[in-house]
Formats: sequence, structure tokens, C-alpha cells
Amino acid sequence: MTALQVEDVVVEYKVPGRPTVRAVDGVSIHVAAGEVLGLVGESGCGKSSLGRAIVGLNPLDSGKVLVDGRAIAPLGRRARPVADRTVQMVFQDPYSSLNPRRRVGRQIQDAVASRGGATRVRELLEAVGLPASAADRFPHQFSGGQRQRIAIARALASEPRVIVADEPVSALDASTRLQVAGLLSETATARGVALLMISHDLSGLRVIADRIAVMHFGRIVEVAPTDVIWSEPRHPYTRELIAAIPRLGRDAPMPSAPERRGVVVRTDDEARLVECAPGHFVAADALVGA
Amino acid sequence: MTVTENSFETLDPVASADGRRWVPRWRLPAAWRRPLAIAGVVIVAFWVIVMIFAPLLAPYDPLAQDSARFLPPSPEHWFGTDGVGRDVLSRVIYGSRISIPIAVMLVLLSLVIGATIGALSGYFGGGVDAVAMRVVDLFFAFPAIILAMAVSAALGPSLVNAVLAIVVVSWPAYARVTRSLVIGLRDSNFIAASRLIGASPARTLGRDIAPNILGPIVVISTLELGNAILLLAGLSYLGLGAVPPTPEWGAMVSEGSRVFYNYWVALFPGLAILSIVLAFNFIGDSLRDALDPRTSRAVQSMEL
Amino acid sequence: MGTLLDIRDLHITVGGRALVDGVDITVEPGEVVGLAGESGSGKTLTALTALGFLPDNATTSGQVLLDGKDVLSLDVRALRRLRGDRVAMVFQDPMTSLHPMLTIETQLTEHQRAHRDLTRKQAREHAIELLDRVRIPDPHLAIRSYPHRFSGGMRQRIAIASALACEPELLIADEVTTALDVTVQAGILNLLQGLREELGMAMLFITHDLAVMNVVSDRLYVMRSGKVVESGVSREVLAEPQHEYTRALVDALPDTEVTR
Repeated sequence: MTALQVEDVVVEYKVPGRPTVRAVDGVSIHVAAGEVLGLVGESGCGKSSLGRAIVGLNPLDSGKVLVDGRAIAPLGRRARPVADRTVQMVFQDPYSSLNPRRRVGRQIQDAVASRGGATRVRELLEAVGLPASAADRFPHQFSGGQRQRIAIARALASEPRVIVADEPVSALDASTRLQVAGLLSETATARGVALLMISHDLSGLRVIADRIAVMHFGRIVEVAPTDVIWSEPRHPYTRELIAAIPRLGRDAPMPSAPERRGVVVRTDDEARLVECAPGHFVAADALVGA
Repeated sequence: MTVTENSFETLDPVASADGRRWVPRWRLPAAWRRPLAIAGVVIVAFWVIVMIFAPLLAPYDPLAQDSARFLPPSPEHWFGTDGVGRDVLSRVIYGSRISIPIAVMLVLLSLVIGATIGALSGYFGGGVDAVAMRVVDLFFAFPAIILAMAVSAALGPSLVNAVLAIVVVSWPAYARVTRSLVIGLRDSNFIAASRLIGASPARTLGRDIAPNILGPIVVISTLELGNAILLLAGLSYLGLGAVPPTPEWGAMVSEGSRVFYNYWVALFPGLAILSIVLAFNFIGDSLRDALDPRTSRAVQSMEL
Repeated sequence: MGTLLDIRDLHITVGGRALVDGVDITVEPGEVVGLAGESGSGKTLTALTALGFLPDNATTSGQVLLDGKDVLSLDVRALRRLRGDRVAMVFQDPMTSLHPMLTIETQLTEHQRAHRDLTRKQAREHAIELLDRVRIPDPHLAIRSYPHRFSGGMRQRIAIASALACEPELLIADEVTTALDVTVQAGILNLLQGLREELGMAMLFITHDLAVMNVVSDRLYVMRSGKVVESGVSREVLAEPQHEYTRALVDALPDTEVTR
């Protein structure tokens, strides 16, 4: 049984007076326990909406989210049932994901289901590289990177099966991104947690993701193991993304910009994923023409 | 005192630990150094002392009538005497024991009722919110004093009824403010995170939302104290609040306004009202500036 | 023409703290010079002095010579003449870099008419030309529109067009692509390079992103806590950093090389 199975999820946004927007247009992905799946795409592609829908913060307009084979319901008015707490989230903004008025230790402790909270809090803080004394401090006494570590500790505290991380390091200084991303992926995989890592930074994902899924206008256009995505991208959009990344190195070329394109709407046929090589899936529209 | 991670995280010692924004370490002292805030605090402290030590400070019994009517201010009667020979100074002093505690109680009651309705309305939204806000709109359609007068007149003139009337009129303002504060916070990430780990609505409201809206609510309440006193004084002035011989400041102004040429009868209680309302406003303004992240950090923040 | 911008031993102290602590930077005409560093390093403050901007209550020493004249000693009138005309700036946040209540036309022509003697019609035509140059589709329509109609990347292009309107000798770009998607960033970087070749314009390019620095700038200065810790030809410095801070910054980046 796969830890996280997302089946044909559709998330729509209805704005009065305008046509309904399909932020997520029939996405199916899966993540195994202890695996890291990187979900990459640019702004507006729907990756955050998908992440929030998986966790239950947005309702699904159709489709299912299964954790260990069991469907998860979106957050309702009442307290979240224990069985649904197996999916947790790490948010993008380190400044708004912690309650500014409560001590950090208490916030982590709230997530610990069993007794022995204080010890567990200490363990978790150590696991994320912070001293036990951090528990008595308030969020504003920490840097952005440290706050993300606390957020990771809190996400791990409820012993989830799945963690969805929505751009967890984008708001941090470049020098700490790899560190924090690496910490998240190590602690998650060590605990057999399935990690869905959402990011716009393909280079960053390269280091920590086992597989990468590329999202474009609400659809997944390519999924493959990380090194395959980098060395043999099949979908034109994936290729554009890679070509646009500025590189280090004395001979680095100027990144190339795609020709301007408007909104791309793919029919279900065009968007259907085809296995072009073992473990390598690409949307059918990439296979049309040469 | 910050937890350091590595040399890149701590960056400059003067910036906050994250180096991305300036932590206004000297925020509160700067706000309190403002002359108006200090004046406000001094005035309130003064009246509190007067309130507590009224029996020791008042030269005469505030209720004792005398034949020496309408005496202008003199060394024996600093504020003169009123229409039935009572010492105005003593009445003003004892009046503080009525106006101030009642105003505080008024605000607290209105706050509790209004904030509760506003918070529930903002948090749950939907039908509850729609109904509650229409009720609030209804109340806002009437000028406060008119509505208070109507309620008070219906219940009969007395201090207690005046208080009830003012509470009825004041709670909607708190409800609206609380509601918008809660709506502003409701979709924050830390609230979402809290709910994901299983916090119930009660927990979320009490533990996550309440502490974060306390600041603005305190500011509003402080400013509303001034309003409460004015409303109370107004109702008493109209004969709908405190009944004679209670030395309530508004009632005293009322009485004094009928004998205009004996200016001292209305002037001194009027000044008392003015001073305390101003004081509360000064304090409230300074609190607001201190709590507003933009103005308090404006001086220290710079982009690098 | 000599060195275009020559910042000599610049010190900026506020409230007893040295935010810029003895910085020397030069920009030759037509050169792209990068200022790299993390937040708090003083790079933006340093760049702002080229426009004569100093923080309130700052104690400053040193010189900022623009074509030989010390900008820090100019009066407000002289500074106004130079801003937007000889030196222009583009900022990071595309959502706030344009005035939300003014048409694109106003934002592109106002300073042109202030600095050059142009009629309204002439300025407008030049503005349309500029929009075309920065690849905004339908410039005739765009000129009548308001900023909210445009995406982040387009707003940055418009902000760049505005900065270029008076053909400045020096363009200061402060983290202009940081808030943009990578493909949109690639477009802007290509645009800036094209403009540089066409106009021979010099640029002071500020960014914390070293990969961008590598492909965009000729030379760079790495700043930390108000001081320059390393400088040199960008690709050389980034390929073989000499200072440990630079090395640490480079090491903290993921490998972007493609293995085939």
C-alpha cells in the first residue's frame, strides 16, 4: 500500500462573474513511505493548491487522497479526527507558520499525541539541530531558517505518514536553503515518512528528491527519477525549465528564455501520462511531432 | 538572547536574528517617552489616587446641604457651592468614585459581549456571521446617544439602567472590530498548522487567535473608556442616569448648566470629565502607535 | 571618459553602527558590476548612494564620484537632475515598483519631459518604442493601461523601460529578478543583456543569487557586514573563490551542472 496516493484530484476556484478556474486539473501522483517526490512548477501552475488539497486545507472538487489506502477528508469545522492527522504540512513562510505569542516548545508539544510530551519535544528539537533550550523561546527570537526547523519538528511530532512541504526553503537565504531542505528530507525518510516537496527551484530539488514531477497549468506533464529528469527531459516544458536556469561555472551560457506563451489548456487526451521509459512518464502532447 | 545556528544565520548583531528585519528592541520605551502618553498616565494615576483617598481628600460631605448656596470659589470652598449648598470640590472628588469605575465596568461588559459575538461570527462565518452582522448593522443605524436614551427611558432613570443602556449601545463596535481581527487571522498558516494537528475550534480561538488580537482590542478599549464616560455623563445630564443627590459628574454638569452664570457649578465637573477622557485618549493613541508594527518600526527599519 | 562610478572609502553609520564600513567600488562605462551578499551586507545602501540617497540620521564619509563629481556633495536640485536621467534604478518587488494609480504612459513620460525638452507626443512615441523594446505586447494598448493589468514579469519589464527612458549611463538593478519565476527571469536577463549591448549602458547589478551573478556580471564585489570581502572577474571569483565567505556561499548552492 502506497503511503500517499493522489487520484485524479481536481481543485477549482470559483470567482463570481468570471469563469471557474481549474487550478488542479486531474492530477494523480503517488509517494512511497520514505521516498521524496519533488513537485516542481512555476507560479500559477497549481502546485500549492494541490499541496493544500492533499493536506485537507482546500476541499477537493473531485478525486481522492489516500494515505495508506484510507481516504482523507478535508478539514471541517470540528477538530480534525485523529486518523486524518497522518498528513502534515510545512509551510513556505517561516514568519506566519508559528504562533508569535506562544513558546515554541508548547507549539511542538501540542502535536505530540502521546504522553511524555516534554521529552519528545527535546528529542525533536535535537533531531532538527536546535538545542533543548529553544523550547522556552518565542518564535521572534529565531531566524527564518531556525523557524523552519521548528516547523519541521512540529510536523514530525504527530508522527505523520505523509508530509507536504510547500516551498519550505524559498523564503530563506540562499546559503541555508540546502541545509534546511536536506534536514527535512533526511528526518522524513529516516522515519519512513513520505515527503512531497513542492518547489519552483529545480536545482534545489535535484539534491534531495528521489523522483520529480513537473507541473504545468494544473497538470502533471512529466514524472521521472531525478537524474533522468535532468539528463533526459522529454517534455518541452521541462526542457524550457532546465534551459532557463542560470549556471555557475566559467563556461556557463546565458539562460535561455522560452518564447512567450499564454495560458496553456490541455485536453484530457493531451495530458494523459504515457510511460516512455521504465519509471519515466510524460504527457501525451510531448509525443506529438518531433 | 538568540539561539545561534551558524555564522550565516546570525549575520549582523544589530539586525534581528534572521537578518531580514529590524527587531525594534527599544519599541515600548520610545512609545512611552511621548509626552502625551506620560500626561495621560499621570492624569489617570491622579484620579485613581483621588478615587481611593476620597474620604481623606474631600473637605466636606458631598451630600451635606447647607444654606450657603451658590457661593463662588473661595478659600473655604475651592470650587464653590451648588444650588443646595453642597461643596462642589467634594462632589467632584467623590464623583470620581462613580464615573471611573462605572466606565471601566461598562467597557468590560461591552467588550466581553461584543468580542465574543464578533469572534464567533468571524471564525465560523456563514449563517451565524450573516445574522450577527445584520444585528450589528441595525444597532449602528442609530446614533448611540438616542438609542441609549430610549433604553434608559424605557427602564427608568437610574445609574444601573444607564449602564445597561450604554452596554446595549456599545457592544456592536467591539463585535465588528473583533470580527475583522479574527477574519484577518483565521486563514493564517499557524492557525492552519494548529488545526492540522487536531485543535478544536475552542482551542483555536482561545489559544491561537485570542492572544494575537489582544493588542488591538486593548487599544480600542482604552479609547472607548473615554466614550463610555461621555455617554454616561450625557445620559445623566439628560436626567436618565444618576439621580440626585448622586455626585455623578454628568449630572452635576446638568444641574450647573441651568444656572449658567454660576459658572463653577458646571465648570469643574466638566473639566474633570474632559481631563479623564483626554487622558484615556492619549494613552490609547500611544498604545496604538506602540503596537502598530509599521509606525513603531518606521524609525528603526531600513532596507539594506 | 574616465571611470563612470567611483565609490571611495564609503562609510555610512547609523545609530553608532557601521552599515557600510569602508567600501571601494568602481564601475567603468558599459560594464556590468555585481554586488553580491546576503541581506544585511550593505549592498543596497551602497548602491543607493550612487543616486545620492542616504538613510536618515546617517553619518557618512568618503566619496561617491559619478563621472568625477561627488554625488554626496550635490544639492537637491542637482540630484534631481541626475536621477532618472544619468542614473536610474529598478527595484525588486514588481507589485510595488509601479505607481498603481497612474497610467503606464504617465510613468514612462513624466521624467522624460522633465529631463529632456520633449513635447507630449514625442515622449509618448518614445514610450511606445521602449515598451516594444522590452517586449511588451500591444504597446499602444499597454500605454493607456494601469499596472494591475500586467503580471509580475511584465511589470518589471515596464519598470526597466521607465528606467531606460532617458538613456541613463548607469542602471542600478536591485534584485530585479528575485521575485520572478525562472523562465521569466531568463527573459529579463536576456533583455538586460540585449539592452546593454545596444545602449552601451553600465549596470550595477545587486543580487544574492550567485548563479545569476555568474551569467550576468563582468566583475563582482562580495559584501559582508558592510565590507567588501572579495572582488574580481565574476566567473573567476565564483569558480575559484579566495575568501572563505565567498567559498561558503558558493558551496551552499546546489550543483547546477548537467551530468550526461
